Amino acid sequence: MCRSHQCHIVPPHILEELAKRGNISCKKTLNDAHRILARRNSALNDLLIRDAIPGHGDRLVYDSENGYEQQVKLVRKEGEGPINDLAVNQAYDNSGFVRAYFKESFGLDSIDSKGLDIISNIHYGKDYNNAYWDGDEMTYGDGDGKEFTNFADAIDVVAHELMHGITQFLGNLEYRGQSGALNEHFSDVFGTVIKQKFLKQTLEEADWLIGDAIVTKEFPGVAIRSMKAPGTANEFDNQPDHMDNYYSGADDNQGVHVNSGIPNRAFYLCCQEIGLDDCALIWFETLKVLWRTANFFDTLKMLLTTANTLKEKKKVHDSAPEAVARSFFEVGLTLEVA
Amino acid sequence: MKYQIKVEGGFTGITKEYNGEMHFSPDERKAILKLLQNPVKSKNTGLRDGFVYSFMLRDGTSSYTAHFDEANLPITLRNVLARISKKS
Ligand SMILES: [Zn+2]
Repeated sequence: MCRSHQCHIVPPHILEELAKRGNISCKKTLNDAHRILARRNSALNDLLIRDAIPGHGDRLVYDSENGYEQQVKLVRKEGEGPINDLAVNQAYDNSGFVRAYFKESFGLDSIDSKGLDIISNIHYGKDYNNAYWDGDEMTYGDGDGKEFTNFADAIDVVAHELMHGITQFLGNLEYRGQSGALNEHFSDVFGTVIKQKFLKQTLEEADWLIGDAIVTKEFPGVAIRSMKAPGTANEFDNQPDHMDNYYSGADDNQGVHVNSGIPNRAFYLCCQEIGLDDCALIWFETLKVLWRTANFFDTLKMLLTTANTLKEKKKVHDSAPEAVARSFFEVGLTLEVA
Repeated sequence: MKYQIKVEGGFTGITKEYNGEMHFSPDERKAILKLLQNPVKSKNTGLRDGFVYSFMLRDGTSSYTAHFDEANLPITLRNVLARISKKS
């Protein structure tokens, strides 16, 4: 057993190997060490950096007033009523829905399971076509009005960005290559799960689209991504739906938003067999045991282990492990049998 | 000055590229080239879905290239990009 205080003197590559073999305390130490190092580097570069302040999972919405700064003007905080700004109320309400989903489904106390306050910055920049998580808080642009509209309006976008925060604190999947595509995948998974809960949809009613609410009629497509049919959401959509079409270029941190289409499709297929809630539970529990550099095969292996464990505990359908294996087989991923 | 700017990543993952030529005042030109020659190191490794900005500007026979992310893109270059994207 590797207790966390002992792990600090163990070199990172050994910690990674132990984490790979399922040692959760080593994995946690490794994740913490990376986070501390990143924060220390930031602090050295910027003496004004904010320290993480333990919170109560409160929602704080700031208005960037179309500039490129965060936390400019606090416009609504936890418990306060709606104000006369739609984007503010959307960021507040959508982040509240996401927070409630994770609390009710997995007992998670905010993003970091320690009550981290949920900070949203809205009206960021001019015609800014993006939303992002920066390690501490979320930032939403209004969109240019030509192709994109307000990003805070879309529940799946808000859930996707908040999920990046949860992933950071649970698995901290490195944001490049396959681990980066998995980071994107987990955000899309809980983006679609929470969207379906928000809209009270059945599996059949769900469109499995990500970002359909932020595109205008002029945008050449119906959404940003499709989990059901990766590569079909718009005319720029180059997501593969099978390992045969795996993107191996350097763009976008080696295709983090591209290759996520492969596990995304597997998730969609698995949901068709055992349902949304069983899949959400298996995926969430798997994220807890993944490590920073996990790849697609590592993830499949851990999904199968988790599905078997949950099956034994009668928490998911009996056919869950087979459903996971079949879904990944369909996208070209199977575990090699020794 | 001739420019070639690439904005990739972001939540959408849709890459935008801008190629063309733009006139800058001598002071602007000096400020822009200084920023491209001495880019501030990125302060944030926790960025997810942030844009990655690649600037390439040609001034006569010299070309200047620099990469930035959401955390270290200087406001001067943001404003240049805003002008260029409005033009296209
Ligand atoms: Zn993302």
